[in-house]
Amino acid sequence: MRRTLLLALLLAAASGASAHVGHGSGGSGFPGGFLHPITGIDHLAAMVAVGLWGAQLRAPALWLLPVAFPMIMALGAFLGLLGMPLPAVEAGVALSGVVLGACVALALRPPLWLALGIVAVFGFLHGHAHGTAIPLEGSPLSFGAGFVAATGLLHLAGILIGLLLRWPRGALVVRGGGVAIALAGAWAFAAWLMDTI
Amino acid sequence: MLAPALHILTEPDHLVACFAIGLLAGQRAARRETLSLLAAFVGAFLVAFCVAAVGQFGDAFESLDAFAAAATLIAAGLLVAVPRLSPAPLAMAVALATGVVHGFANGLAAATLLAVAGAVPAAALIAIAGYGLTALLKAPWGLIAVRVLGSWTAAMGLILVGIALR
Repeated sequence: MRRTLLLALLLAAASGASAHVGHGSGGSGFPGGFLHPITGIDHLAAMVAVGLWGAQLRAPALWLLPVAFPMIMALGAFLGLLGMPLPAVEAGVALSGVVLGACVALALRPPLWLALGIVAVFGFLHGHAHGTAIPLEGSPLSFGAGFVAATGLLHLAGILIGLLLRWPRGALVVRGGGVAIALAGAWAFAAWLMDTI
Repeated sequence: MLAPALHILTEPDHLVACFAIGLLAGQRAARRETLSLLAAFVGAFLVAFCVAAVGQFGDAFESLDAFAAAATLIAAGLLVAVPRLSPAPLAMAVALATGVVHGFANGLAAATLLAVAGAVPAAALIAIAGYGLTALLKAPWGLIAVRVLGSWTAAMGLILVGIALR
């Protein structure tokens, strides 16, 4: 099962990683915004990892993460909209998959402030990437609502997969998922590297 | 009558702000507080709508509109996300301000005062829908889900400020 999950995520990475880097053509309005985190494997993997890690850390991290994340992400989007340059933000987004995936794979339990800090930094990066992709024609706020909602639902997906933690074997599956996410992040990072060089 | 109701339902900032006030009201422990918050919001919306629809303001407020709407989204969203922040008077102030801002904006967009018959019930219904959601979610995870929705609301407000500054 663990191997199947890994394979599925790798396949998804193969199709998605190249599609995301520099993408921003997902359309406008709510659907465009909603698809932005989902169609980029780097966003998708990292957001599911946030949910998985929250499930591993349990309360209070479990509910602090999904409450704090959207606001920090919005701060990144806000500064992205204002044109604050953030060089190589796509690389940072890809690396967030590697780091968060590794945290899940190793079932790391740092102090709460450190876990929140790690997630906050990456939330900011993801928000910046989404913010610079907001199309100003049409309804830009709907686009914003779309990626906020999609990100939240991806956290929820991670938290729900985290229900597997009730069983010892399930905990292993979750950690295997972390490995797959870290690999997907590495894949996206490699794609970014190939694109830049 | 239909068009002004649709205006609220299709503009994301109006829709989400009204909904967030419902969430805020539903989080109050005392039933009286819930009712007075909802009533204050709808009353403020009604009065501001009429003032804006009757007065000849032109586009004097156009540049402020987005910032005011964003401020209500951030304020209402934060209070819902972090209930510890919201003593009753503050919640009441935010409900009133949200009613005034969105009532005024919708009133400016209305062609006639008659539009009030469509806009006010629409605003009230959206707020009641938000309140209804909190009533459904009495489970421990339900309370968290409501706070998460508040956080999404505040996030949208912040993004709206960014869009308006562009």
